Order: sequence, then C-alpha cells, then structure tokens
Amino acid sequence: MSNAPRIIAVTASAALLAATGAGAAVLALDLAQESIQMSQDSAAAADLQAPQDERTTVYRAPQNDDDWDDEGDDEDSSSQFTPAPPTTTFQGGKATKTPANTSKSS
Amino acid sequence: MITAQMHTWKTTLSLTVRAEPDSRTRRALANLLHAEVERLDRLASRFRDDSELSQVNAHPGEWVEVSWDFVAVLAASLRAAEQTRGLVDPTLGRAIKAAGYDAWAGQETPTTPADHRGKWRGVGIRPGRGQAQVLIPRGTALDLGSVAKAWLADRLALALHRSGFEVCANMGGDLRVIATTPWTVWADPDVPGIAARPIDLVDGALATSGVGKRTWTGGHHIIDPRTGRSARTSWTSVSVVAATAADANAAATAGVILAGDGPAWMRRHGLDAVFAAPGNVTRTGRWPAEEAA
Repeated sequence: MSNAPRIIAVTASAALLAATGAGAAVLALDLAQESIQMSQDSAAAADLQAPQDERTTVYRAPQNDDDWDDEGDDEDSSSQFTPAPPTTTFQGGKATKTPANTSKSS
Repeated sequence: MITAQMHTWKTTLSLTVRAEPDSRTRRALANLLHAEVERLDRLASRFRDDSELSQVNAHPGEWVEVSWDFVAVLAASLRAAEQTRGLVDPTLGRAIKAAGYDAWAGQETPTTPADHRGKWRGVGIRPGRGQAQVLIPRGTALDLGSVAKAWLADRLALALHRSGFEVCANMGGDLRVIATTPWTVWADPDVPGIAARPIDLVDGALATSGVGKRTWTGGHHIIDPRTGRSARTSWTSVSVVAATAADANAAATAGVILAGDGPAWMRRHGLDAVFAAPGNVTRTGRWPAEEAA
C-alpha cells in the first residue's frame, strides 16, 4: 500500500488526529515529508471555512484493489495488526470461567 | 472483583475491575457502562432514526455533518477495512439487511443482495461547518456493528485504566484487558467437543467471531463483501488474541469470511488464533494444542 493516495490534508485538526489515532498522524507526517505544497496561510484559511472541494478532504481510503492473497501488501506497516504482547500466555490461570471473562461468538 | 453487566444488542456486556467490592464503585461502573452504550447507540445505531449513522445513511453520495465522536467510531471501522483489505467493510449496511439480519432483529424487510467489494474506499471524512462531515458512496449504507463493540471494549478499558483500575471490558465476546498482573480470560469456540481455552492477558485482547449466533434461516450476520451475502464459511467460530479488541475482532471476522484460507492469512499477519468447527480445529501462532472437552 506504499502507493496509497490517502489524503491527510494540512487542514487535519487535532480533533481528527485524536479521532483517527496515531496512524493518521504518521500519515500526515509522511505527506509533509513528501512536500505536499500548501502554504500555512491557505491551510489556516481552509480551517475556518466550510469545505468546498477535495483539497479539504482529510480521509480517503487507499484506492488500490482488494487482494486478500497479496502477501506484499500485508507487509504495509500502516495496515498491520498488532499481535498480543509477549506478556500474553496460553497456560491459563486459576480464574473460573464466567460470562464476564469469556469470549464467545455473540 | 467488581463487575457491572448490561444486556443489550442481543448480548451481554460486562465491565470488571480488580477492587474490593463496594456499592459506590459498582454503581459508578454500571453508570459508565450504560452511558457509553447509550452514547454509542446515538452515534452508530442502524436501528435509531436519530443516530448520526442514520443521518449519514439517509444521504448517500452527500457530505453529512457529524460529530468527531462519530468519526472516531467510523475511523476504527475504516482501519479494520484497511487491515483486512475490505473483508471487514463498514459500508455493508445494505448487504446485511439484504442477508436478513434486520428481519431477524425484528426491524425491517430485506432488500436485494449485491457485490459490495471496495465500496468502503469511497468513504470520505473532512472538517465540517460544526465539527466534521462524512461522505458514503451512493448505493451504500454504513453498518459499524462489526467493529463498534470491540471499539467500545478498548475505549472503556483505557478509560478505567487511566482512572487507576485494572480492568477487563467484555463487550459481547470482544474483550480487552489492561492490568499489571495476568488476568485469565477464556476463549470459548462454542463447538461441542472443543474445550474453552484459558489465556492470561496483562495488556491485550481476545475476540471471537462466529456463525453460531445471530443466525437465521439461510443466513447469518457475517457478510462476505465479495458476494454481499452471508459468508459461506467452514468455521463455526474464530478466536484471535491481539493487542487491542479492535484488531482481534477484525482479524477474527476476516478469518471466518476467508474460510479455508483463513489460517494461512492469520499466520501471514503473525496472529495467535484458533479456528473451530465440529471435528476440525486449526491453530495459528502461539495458540497451543489442547485436549478435547
């Protein structure tokens, strides 16, 4: 997904970054590093106005095809799952199985 | 331990903290759970005309004013779509209705199924006149139910952890633990002959998706976006352990949809999981073999 044209515009607010999480912040940084040209003045003005066009779009999904067998795209760091940390063990403690601590399809 | 429970969304939600039992904390937990469920309903219920999601669904192809809170839930769903390359798709609202879910839930009549591949890529988010605006493609409707419960489990666990509690939030099978010492949770495949597995989490999550519940004649609630119909899967359930409930839920749902290809996909993503069906169990990652029930 390295060619993903996801747009996180300079108008992205702190609220958006909080809502979409750290991934969006990283993407915003990526775009900045790619020298997306937008002056601070115009960005600030856009923040104050109702959106008019795509320049103020802050999220667009990557437009590449869905291919579930494409191992290369699974390596894209922005879309990877985070496995459980090493503190997770499958030995099982002493706690009784109750509805509050049980995961089953519902 | 103190536990608050709530029965809604045709399941049971539980919020447990490690603390000496006292009525004040129990009441606070119950209030928090009820308030957050009500809040999520106002944001993202397909069955409430006054929800923000219903407003968006009423105007496909148009930018609709929403709150940043709604964007947070939608963003979690879009992240799941990116992670699963569209296998978990938030724009399947019409497809799940077509598959018969609404009739099963006592809501509406079904519509026609269709291929929904890639529709999620047409979703847009931008700043609005008040807070934000969302656009969904024409011919689609949002259904965030697949991810919303997991999102809520993560949110509640984090909120309580920041308040100083060790916590287990279990939103109908999407379960998140944040603690300082191991907290035993159970993965129950709900398949006769396959034992539930205890797992110790310190900061982690466990989710189970399956076709044993929310099932009706000719269908169930897990939609394959490639067909727009209930997934034709070989698994009764898939349980996944991951860092967050949102990740675990998305992977488990994708595992069900991918059927026989699910275990290989799960291994490629480095996730610990168990795929269960009568007479058939497949494990990935660290998930250990276990004796029959």
